[in-house]
Amino acid sequence: MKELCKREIYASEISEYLGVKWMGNDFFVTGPTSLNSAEAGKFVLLNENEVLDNISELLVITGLESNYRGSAVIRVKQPEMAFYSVINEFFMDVKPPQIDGTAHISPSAKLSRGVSVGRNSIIESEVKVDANTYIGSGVIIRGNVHIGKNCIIKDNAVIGSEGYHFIDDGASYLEKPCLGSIHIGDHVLIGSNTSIELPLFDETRIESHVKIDDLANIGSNCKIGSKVLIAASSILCHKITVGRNSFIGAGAVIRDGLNIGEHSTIGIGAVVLGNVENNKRVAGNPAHEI
Amino acid sequence: MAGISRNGDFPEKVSKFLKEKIDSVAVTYGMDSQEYRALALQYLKHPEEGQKSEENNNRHWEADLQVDTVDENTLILHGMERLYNKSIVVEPTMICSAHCRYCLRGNYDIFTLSEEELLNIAKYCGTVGAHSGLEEILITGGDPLIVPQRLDYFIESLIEHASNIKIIRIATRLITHDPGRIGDSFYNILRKKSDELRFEVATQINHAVELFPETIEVIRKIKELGAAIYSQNVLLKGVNDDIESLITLYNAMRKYDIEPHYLFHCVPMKGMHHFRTSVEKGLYLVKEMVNSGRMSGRSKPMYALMTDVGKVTLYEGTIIGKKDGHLELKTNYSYEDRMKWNPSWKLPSTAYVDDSGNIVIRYLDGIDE
Repeated sequence: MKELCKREIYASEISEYLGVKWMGNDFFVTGPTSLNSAEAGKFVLLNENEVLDNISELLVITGLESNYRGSAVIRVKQPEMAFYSVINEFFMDVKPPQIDGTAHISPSAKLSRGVSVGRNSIIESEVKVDANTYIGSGVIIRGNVHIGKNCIIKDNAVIGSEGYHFIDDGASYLEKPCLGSIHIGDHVLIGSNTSIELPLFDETRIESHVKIDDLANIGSNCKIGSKVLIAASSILCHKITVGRNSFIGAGAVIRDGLNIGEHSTIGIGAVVLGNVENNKRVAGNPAHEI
Repeated sequence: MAGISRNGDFPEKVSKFLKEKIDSVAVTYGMDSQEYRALALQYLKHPEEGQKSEENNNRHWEADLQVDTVDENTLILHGMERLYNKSIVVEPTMICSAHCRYCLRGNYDIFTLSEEELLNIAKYCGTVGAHSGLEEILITGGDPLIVPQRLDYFIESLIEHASNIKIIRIATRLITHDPGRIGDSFYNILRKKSDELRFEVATQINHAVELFPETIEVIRKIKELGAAIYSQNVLLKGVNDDIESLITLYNAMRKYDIEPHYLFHCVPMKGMHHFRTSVEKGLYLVKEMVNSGRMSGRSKPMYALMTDVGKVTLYEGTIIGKKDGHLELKTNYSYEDRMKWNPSWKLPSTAYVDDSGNIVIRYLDGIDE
């Protein structure tokens, strides 16, 4: 995890880092700020259509077409990307990896170098975690689970929870045991209180670069393609496939067994009862194409 | 090297930390002191920089690698050089937090390599490099600690794609330029040390006054994390070209556990004439220093020249001729071997290959005034 740190860096250095030749007087910049709090000695992102008065010694990162006329300005193709890459590289420090003394880690779990585990987390046997993954506090990981490198598992997430599968035998329910495994790729984010269920057999699979927000539920045997974004409180029931680069809006619910195509968008609060083709946008209850 | 010449445009740049140290040394020791001069000469523009002299090279050597990839395209690995068989040099960024006035890369364009470019270099190291004896990498620049997260990305890529790399050397002057900028993003890199991977930190301290308390604290932390730290110093007229300064410097380095490596004669490049002693004076100083009885044999550096074909350490028989202010130096670099690991390399006009197949190089001497 990263934390903001105090530094004094030449504006020209930020410009050079972004590949833009610095013209004019140089000055020290101590960190990022917002447009509302813009002041001398800081640097700020000015998006297209936003307006800002010229402030002396305020470094402005903006687009090539921006109308901003101040003297300390860096114009780049992708200003938002540039702004945040400067924050990350120059003003954030990465905390050292640490296994908290209160965490319970099974001796047969395999944790690679650089893995951090927070307070009161539980990592049971059969779990394998690759290099530099950060596991927050109160996280539970159990079952046959493999987590890739450079992932972030936020506080109280549960990876390897039992699925919700029962057979009605008349008087009561017989629970089906979940005997498969979970695979999580590299650079995946699992939000706080999110639950990833073990599959009945085979695999629940989350590919690399997937980002899942807080309070989501990913059901048994789901397969989530790379770079999918799943916003807070979404519920994906059993055996759902989501194609790569799709977006699932906050609070969406997707019924068992559906296929969500690549590059598709599921609107906020949508209740999805049928398959969604590639590149389609659906919303509403029941969800329909928009 | 890997940059493009900026035609002598090398702006003065001094970090806030160094500015404060220079001011404080001026007050403590006075502006006529050796201590003040040692800092001021290294970082403040000098009127003689712009004067014409024999030193008119804008660039140092060229050794960017051209590599044939699996899809039969030729890939130029920008920001990487291979002058030696077992090691390569990589420059992730050419940015520094302060500009040393005698920097041999001072006249180059500034760039920062993308993650994709660094990944390509790591893959080269693990494929072509692995088959040709590559086992060591020097990461320099610029100052790689300016971009610690990109540096971390590169090291992770090396760990993943080039297990043949056993030693990673990271060259930085940030420990004297602005030690407050060094944090856990860098220390975490040193924590990746294992039985299979050793880290060494190379720095450059040219005068004992540069061992500031904040610098010593960073050195202590680096040592604590199990990395070696060594210094390659430069012999600079007015900064350290006297016995007292050199003995004090090497004894202070020993005190803080900084290993001595090379003492370089200042390279013959544009704007550096006023820094350059004669090579002979350097030899005399080293001889006097090591025979002074005032320092341990464990603190002695190797005296070397940075030539157009790589570094040449001076031993008896290295200098084989002197003519028109130039020295002719016999090297142990085999031309044939070099072409094996970098076929795109060209013999510079200042060099020729002798009967034994080794490269002989001409080197512009400095002048003592």
